[in-house]
Amino acid sequence: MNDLAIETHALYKHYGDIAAVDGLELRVPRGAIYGFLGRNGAGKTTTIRMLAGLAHPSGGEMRVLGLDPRTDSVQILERMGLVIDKMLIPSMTGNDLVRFNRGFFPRWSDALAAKYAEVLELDMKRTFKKLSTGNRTKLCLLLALAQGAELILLDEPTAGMDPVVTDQLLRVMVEDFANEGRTLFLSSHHLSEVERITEWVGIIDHGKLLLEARLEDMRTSFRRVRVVGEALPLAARPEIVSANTGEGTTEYVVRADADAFAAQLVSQGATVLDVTPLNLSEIFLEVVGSGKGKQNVPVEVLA
Amino acid sequence: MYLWKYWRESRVTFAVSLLLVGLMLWIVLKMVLPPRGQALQTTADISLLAGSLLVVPFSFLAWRFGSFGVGRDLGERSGSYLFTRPRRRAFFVWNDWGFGMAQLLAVVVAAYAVIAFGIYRATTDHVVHIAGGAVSMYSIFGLHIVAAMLLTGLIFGLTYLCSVLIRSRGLMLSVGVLLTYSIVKAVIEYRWPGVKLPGLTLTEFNQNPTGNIAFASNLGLSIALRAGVALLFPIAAQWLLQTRDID
Repeated sequence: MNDLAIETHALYKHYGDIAAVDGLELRVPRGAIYGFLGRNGAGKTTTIRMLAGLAHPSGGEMRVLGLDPRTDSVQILERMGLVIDKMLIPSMTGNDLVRFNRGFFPRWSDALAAKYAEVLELDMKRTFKKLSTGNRTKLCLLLALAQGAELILLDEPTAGMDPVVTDQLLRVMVEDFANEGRTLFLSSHHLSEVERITEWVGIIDHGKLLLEARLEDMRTSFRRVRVVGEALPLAARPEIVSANTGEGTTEYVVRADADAFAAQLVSQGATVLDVTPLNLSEIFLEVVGSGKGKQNVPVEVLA
Repeated sequence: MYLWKYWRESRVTFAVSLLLVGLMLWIVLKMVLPPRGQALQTTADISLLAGSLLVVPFSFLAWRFGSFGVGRDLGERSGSYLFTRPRRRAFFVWNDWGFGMAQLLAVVVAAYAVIAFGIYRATTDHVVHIAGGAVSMYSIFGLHIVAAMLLTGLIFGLTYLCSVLIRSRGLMLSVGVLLTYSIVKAVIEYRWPGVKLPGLTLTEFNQNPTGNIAFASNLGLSIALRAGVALLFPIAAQWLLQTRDID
């Protein structure tokens, strides 16, 4: 047993000429809360669907809990909970769905189901089709938690939810699930939520993983360096994520060794105006590229 | 637990089917059966026992039942939920197929039991006279049940496959395929009278050269081939589900 809950190597998924996932290298440590970030269409959902065994990869390798989803899907699904699509059987009530799920999972707990129904304030007698978006997601999460999963994959769990429900869900996910040493893998483009709870972050764009690192490492490593000077380097060095010139200043975002980088610029005659940290949202925008004219380079794994 | 879900979805159709088929047969038997104490005549016996009017309701039920299960879940976009329950895709297909066919068998047996009971009460000798001798009425009923199950198995399997293929429009595709085949068969047999394509229903009897009714030739082979064809549909559905992405 290795220490990775999810591992992919050169994973591809093509739809005709379009590469939805393009050589993905993912390493999710066991016990981590991992935020899988990307824009719409970046390949997050396709990746999750392949890990869940719902989509067949066009090529590459993947392991979930040390097993191959293509050949060991039943064993994986017994140990993995999923909140994707947020669509259960429309005509069933919450209680019906609990009854239906019970028979599939050896570690199912009715006590946990009852507990989360209360914690999440769910009406278990209402049919799924009559539930609001938020309550649908809550019910999906309840089922995933009550099955005693070691790993839960959540695809955009807070999409379309109000802040109160979002807070409820995040609290349950972190306090009741991840704190018990189990792995939580969630995709999102709501960066503030991810920043609140995750320990690890992977950023995907156009099917490729641009960055995978501990959030703490990202916070300490990424810096914005504003400089005034002549003949400054532009994105030629590996530590430079982006470089933008305008109105007499050049603004760099570097992924490591900001102080050494600034000192080097000073030694070349430049004046460093300031060196400031970036939050996750800013890092995401820099890594993915927020607009035309930016010169970005792929960022390697930090840790 | 999965069977409970299938039963939950199909139980109303199942109960209504049993009720309607039973009621319809009771009324028809009241109108058709001779007074008590008479022996049935050969040709009339067979056409009555064959219960050809049952072909339509049985076909309809098989068509309806074929749309339950996985196809319905895919149509309601809950396929990704269902197929992330820890079971092989084959588990879902064969549970659907087995339970659906069991329900159809219950309806078919119940329907023929009503006819058998009516005929039993109305006649004294419970045999059917065909070329080669008298055959027990119950044997004929057994054959009718086999024929009905082959027909319903074919339609159920086809509809099931169509529902897996194109979800909620599968019901219409299934009707389209059956109608197209029937029309093509009729046209071919009209244009080339020597050519005989197999019909949707099993031919149990035919007239021998002397004009008497006899069991159709190669009946066993015909039953085996039809059973094989009917089984191809759930096998194809399983293959489809295993090889394509679930969205």
